[in-house]
Amino acid sequence: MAKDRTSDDTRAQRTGASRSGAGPTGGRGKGGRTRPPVNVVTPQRPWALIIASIAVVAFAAAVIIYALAQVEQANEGKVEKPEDIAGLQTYDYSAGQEHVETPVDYTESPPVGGPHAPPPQWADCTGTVYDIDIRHENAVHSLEHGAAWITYNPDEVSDADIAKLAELVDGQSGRMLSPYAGLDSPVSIQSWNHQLKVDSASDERIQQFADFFTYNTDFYPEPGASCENPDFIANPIPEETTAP
Amino acid sequence: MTGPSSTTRSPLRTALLAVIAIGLVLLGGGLAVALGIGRTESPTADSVDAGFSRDMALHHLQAVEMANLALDRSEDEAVRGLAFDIAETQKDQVGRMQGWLALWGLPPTGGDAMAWMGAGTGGHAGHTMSEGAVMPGMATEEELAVLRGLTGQPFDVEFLRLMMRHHQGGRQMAEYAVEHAEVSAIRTLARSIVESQAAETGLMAGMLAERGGTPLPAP
Repeated sequence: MAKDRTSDDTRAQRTGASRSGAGPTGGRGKGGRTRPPVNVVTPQRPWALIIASIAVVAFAAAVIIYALAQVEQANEGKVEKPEDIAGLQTYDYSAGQEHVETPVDYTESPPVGGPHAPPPQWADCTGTVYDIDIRHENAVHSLEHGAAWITYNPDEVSDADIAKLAELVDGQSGRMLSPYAGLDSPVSIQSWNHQLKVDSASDERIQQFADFFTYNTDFYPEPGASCENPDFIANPIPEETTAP
Repeated sequence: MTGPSSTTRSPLRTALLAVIAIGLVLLGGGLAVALGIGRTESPTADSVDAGFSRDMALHHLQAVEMANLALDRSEDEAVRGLAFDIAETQKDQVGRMQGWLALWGLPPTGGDAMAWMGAGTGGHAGHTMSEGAVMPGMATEEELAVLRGLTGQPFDVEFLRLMMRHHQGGRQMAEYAVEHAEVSAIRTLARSIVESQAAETGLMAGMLAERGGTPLPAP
């Protein structure tokens, strides 16, 4: 008796096990017992979905990384805004500054804005290399017209340095170069409201500044104004010294 | 070996389907950006941006014309210097504005003059323009004919009077554009016109007084 029951039990168990591995089956228990059909879903991994989702993510990531790398490469070393130039100083002179014939006591040295000589007395900035300290009130008017003005301390730079700076300026409309007595660094480059002082004429930021700011209409008051002043090339006005 | 029996999708399937859906949305968005879908449209012919570009360019061209006249016949160094500055600057700015119109696919002329300005604001009810003047501050043909007939200091005085009034009219146009133009390059140019021409107007007032002249009524 007991033996029968046991074999019945084990058979039931075996049947149960095989049933779970083999999908739904109707109750086929011996003895006419029917069991309600049970849907047993096999919890296999949905491989197709897994592969598809990995593929989509990988493709999206690849496209994004490629695009970012392209942008990164294109922008390497590019100056897109003033802040990209290390050490740049920014000021806030408004447009419409006064035109005055008298000397101006500028806050910055070299000046970057403020009242200045009336038209047409801007310093010629058609790529002009001056060998005198040109009058600052005339230079500021050139800045108002979009010029980038490079200045150097004549006591602190060599002739080779001056030649290097001249290469950046010579014949390039919108630029000028002049010595500046008492300049507190070897080289200083300025445009309207922006200035960068550096220790070496070879500093690559000089060119970055010049390339970015020359005639850059976002940053100076009079887009379209001229840099021409042939009279000033012929007779440049020197900065007044305190000695009469 | 008997796993959970369930009649619904497993959480893993749901998660994977969600990942795929999100990934496709992102790719679709990227494609749209690459194709330029959704980028801002360029200004239409009757926009403030286009109207200002057309009308201010024409307005500038008259200033250039008067300045070139001064360069041709004035003997006064300060007047010639000012005229050179005005001619160069405004001619360049005309190029800028006509360039924008070309990029927007719009012609440089046409449209109702000044229609873009003050539409519905009633801000110009009290403003008078010289009869025959197309835009604020512009000289009429008669006034230009008078200018062309003058020489010496009378020419200089008349030139300064006409140019001052011209600047004052242009300023009104530019101020409107600063407030109402949508393209930022237009607002920037308009702002620089307002500010630099204000300074020039001050300069001209001084020069006029020095030469014994008085300004024309403001436009």
